[in-house]
Amino acid sequence: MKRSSVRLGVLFIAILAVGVLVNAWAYLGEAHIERKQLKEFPTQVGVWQQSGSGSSTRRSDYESFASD
Amino acid sequence: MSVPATKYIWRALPIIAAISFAYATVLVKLSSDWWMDENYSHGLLIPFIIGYILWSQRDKFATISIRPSILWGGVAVVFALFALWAGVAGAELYTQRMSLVLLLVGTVVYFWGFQLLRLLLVPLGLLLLAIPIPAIIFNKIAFPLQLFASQFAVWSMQVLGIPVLRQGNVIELKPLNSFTIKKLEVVEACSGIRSLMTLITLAVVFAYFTYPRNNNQQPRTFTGWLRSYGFWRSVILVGSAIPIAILMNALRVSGTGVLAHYYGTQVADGFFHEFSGWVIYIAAFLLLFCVGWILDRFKPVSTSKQESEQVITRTAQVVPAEGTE
Repeated sequence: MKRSSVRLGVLFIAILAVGVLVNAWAYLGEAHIERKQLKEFPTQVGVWQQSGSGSSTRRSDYESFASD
Repeated sequence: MSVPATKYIWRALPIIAAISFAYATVLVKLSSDWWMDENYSHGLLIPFIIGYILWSQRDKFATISIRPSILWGGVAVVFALFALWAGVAGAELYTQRMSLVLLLVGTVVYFWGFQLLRLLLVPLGLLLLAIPIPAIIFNKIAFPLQLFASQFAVWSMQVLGIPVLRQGNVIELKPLNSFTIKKLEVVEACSGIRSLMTLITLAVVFAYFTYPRNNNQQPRTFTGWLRSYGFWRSVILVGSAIPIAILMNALRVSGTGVLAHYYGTQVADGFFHEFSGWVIYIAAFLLLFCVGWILDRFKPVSTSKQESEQVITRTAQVVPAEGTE
């Protein structure tokens, strides 16, 4: 009887603990992402270098061969 | 030592409370899906059917002996709780919902053992069938069904001499009362997946309630149960629900196409569309019933013979007792 009560307690606490974790997780909602303007995007990211010169991105910035 | 399974039934109460707390958001969303998603509206009936099955089996619960398996039950519970956390963290509904079924399985094994789990296979199976499958799998099934229904409809209309053209899941035809070509689109709702899901669930319920129960002949072992007539009868019944649902839906689309040719494409909407859905569904269930009836007609002779022999034996046991008084 005592052993079965211990088993009951263990399972009860395990489910309850995960329940608290899961409900807290759900309550917090989705991760907040700080959004910035595109113009604030750096011209160099690691080894990548912006090839275009203007403030807006052109098709030629992404093409590796000349377009006809 | 083994004791009746109902002796420690009070243990279920705190566990049910804990599960309700842990799965509160999962259960609310699942209920909402059952209410809103027409593909799974049969889920609303599942708790009541499960409740009825559990109530009708209460005598068996009282007689079955408990042999808890802490190891296997514990492993299942831990895995289920991890799946719940992973499902919530990854916003994956199917994982969250499947973890509930696994947790119930684990809890039963942890406290009562595999014998009770065997008794609960059908209720747990019904719960599984009420859980909406991921959209990626749903669409993989629905689209081929849409194409099949379209192909079948065009074929049957051509057999009846109706000029018709098919482009994918779009059927083009010129109704007799129209001067222009009309298009009938076999959309996802017409794919038949809805009736397929519902009919499979209904077949499980039907197979369960018409399962040949003879207490003297109940197989004692798992392999004995796998070889029993009752098991294969259930498998065939549930399996037959798949072609029946697909075929009946194809017939519904064909009928709509034929009627659209004679009366216009408005038959594909409104009352007729709803009404034909009901008719086809009733017809599908009748076919399922017929399969069950045929299976019972051609029941293996040994099973019927054993049953009649048992009746004769029981009668023979009664007659001398009456004669001696």
